[in-house]
Amino acid sequence: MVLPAGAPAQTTGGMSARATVVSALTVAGTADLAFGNVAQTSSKVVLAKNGGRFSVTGAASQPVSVSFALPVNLGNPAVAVGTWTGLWGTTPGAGAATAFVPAGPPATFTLSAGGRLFFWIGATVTTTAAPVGSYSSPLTLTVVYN
Amino acid sequence: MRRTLWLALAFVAAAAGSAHAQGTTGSINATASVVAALSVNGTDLAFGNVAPTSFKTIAPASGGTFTVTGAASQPVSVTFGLPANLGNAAVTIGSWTGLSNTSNTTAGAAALTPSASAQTLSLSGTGNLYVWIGATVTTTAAAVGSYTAPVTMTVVYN
Repeated sequence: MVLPAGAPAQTTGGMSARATVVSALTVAGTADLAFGNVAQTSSKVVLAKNGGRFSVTGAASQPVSVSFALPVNLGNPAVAVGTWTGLWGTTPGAGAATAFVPAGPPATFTLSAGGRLFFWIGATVTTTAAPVGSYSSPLTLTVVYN
Repeated sequence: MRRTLWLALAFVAAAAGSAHAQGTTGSINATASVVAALSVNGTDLAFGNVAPTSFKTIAPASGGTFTVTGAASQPVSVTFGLPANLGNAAVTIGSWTGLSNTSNTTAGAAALTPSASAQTLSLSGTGNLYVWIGATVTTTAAAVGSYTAPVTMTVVYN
């Protein structure tokens, strides 16, 4: 192969690999979703504003992907839990919070300028001839930077 | 050699994917205590005979009663469904009064105002609660006859 006179022997292109390291995310469960006493065959709703709470801290004003792992019962099929409801906000009070569906696919929320997010979770427990006793099951919030 | 390289690249890609899927988690518990079923039984609030145009008051201690059984010492929320008349607009009922106690006596019972708004009462150490209901019936040129309407009390655990 014969190159034209004066043609460059090689050509290069450039790009950058970039990443921004930001402060670590933390998620704290600050209150259980407590249904209290329920009868053996019954249904009881706890509204999100009165339910379980999570507090998230991280880098200011950054979007994060949020997903929930929600139980279908409280350790016994006779004590089912469902019809999940949620509120989220960037301040600690539920009064100004916005509704969302915690049982949905991962959703994006944005941390406040102070790097905070708050979630409130409600649900309905339904008992069907459940034995007398105490029941519990974990629900987990996972947060990752987008 | 080429095969080895491909395997190494695949591993790196898988590891990167796994790292991306990880996140920071926090957990709480959903909790509930299943307790003995509640039951509510009632006896009637009976006004007896009244004139076509008249009024008659029955004090709660002499009125209808509800007996509740459930789990010992647990708080419950109580609401009432109260009729405005006894099935005829000429036979109205109102001015509801009530008493509650954890033993089956009106002596020492606490006053309550029956209403559709929830109020919290507590079952006794043996899981009992007693409620007495009174009211005033007022007739206005009511036709001679017998009149009745249901009074309901709904109890749920708090």
